[in-house]
Amino acid sequence: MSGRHMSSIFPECDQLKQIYDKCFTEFFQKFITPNYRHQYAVNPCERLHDVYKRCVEERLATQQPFEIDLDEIRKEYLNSDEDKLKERQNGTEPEQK
Amino acid sequence: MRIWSSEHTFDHEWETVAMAAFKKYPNPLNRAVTGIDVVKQTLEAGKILTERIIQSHFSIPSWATKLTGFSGTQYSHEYTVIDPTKKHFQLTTRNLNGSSFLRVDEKLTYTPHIEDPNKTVLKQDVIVTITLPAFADYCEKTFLSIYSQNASKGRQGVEWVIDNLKKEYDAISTKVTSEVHEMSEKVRSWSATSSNPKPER
Repeated sequence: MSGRHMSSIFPECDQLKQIYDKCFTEFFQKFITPNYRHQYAVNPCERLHDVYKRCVEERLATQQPFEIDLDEIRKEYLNSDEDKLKERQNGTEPEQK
Repeated sequence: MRIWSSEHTFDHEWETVAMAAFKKYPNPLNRAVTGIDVVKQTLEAGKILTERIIQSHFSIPSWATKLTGFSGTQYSHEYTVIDPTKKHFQLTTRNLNGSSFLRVDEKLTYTPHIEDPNKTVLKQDVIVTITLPAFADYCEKTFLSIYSQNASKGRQGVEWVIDNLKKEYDAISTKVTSEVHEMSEKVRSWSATSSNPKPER
């Protein structure tokens, strides 16, 4: 839908990313609308993502651009620390609902 | 440890802002971001969960690189949860480099304005923790002062993308309108020539 494209960190994976992004953006535009049946949705671009993700993961493993293991960050950050962050935020200001 | 919080209201409905925030990069106001990869993207219970690795490039003086081991290329991990049913967009980011002495946890939420559904509120919180034998507090303060300046650039970036998306849509709709117009003109001239030999009414 647009000429704007954010490239992959790894040039070798950029083409796969472009294909995936195009597919997912099209889906996302429909998904975000209020009347879409969100509960039943599946990612229609999953296969494209698998191919693209494999390319990225291989390069992350060999080039190691950062010292943190993503699985570690997932474990820690998506559960406990995230909750701590929430607590801290709720301590400083009331939750907006 | 230091916390910085802010709130900003966009004059656009949630769907528009969510769309722009999700496709924020590239934009001319945040040129530091040089690459993004989507390492995970799943749908769970009507929500989109996304994990991305963001690569940014900064110009850092070489003495600073020597001192801190920080190079000009930095990576961060971003996790977003988009719930279109509740109209809730949450984004959490953490730095992936320099973690031995620096931790930056950033959290952004986009929700509809309580009183005006045509507006969207962005809440932004960042927690910075610097572990250095000296000047840690000073460094945290400095970090947040730079961060707060960049935060406004981030919001301008979202505004820019909103404008850009609108233009992209407008371009499509004006094209369609002109095609429809052209078509109806043709039909009119056909019917005019077939029913009436004179093109003028």
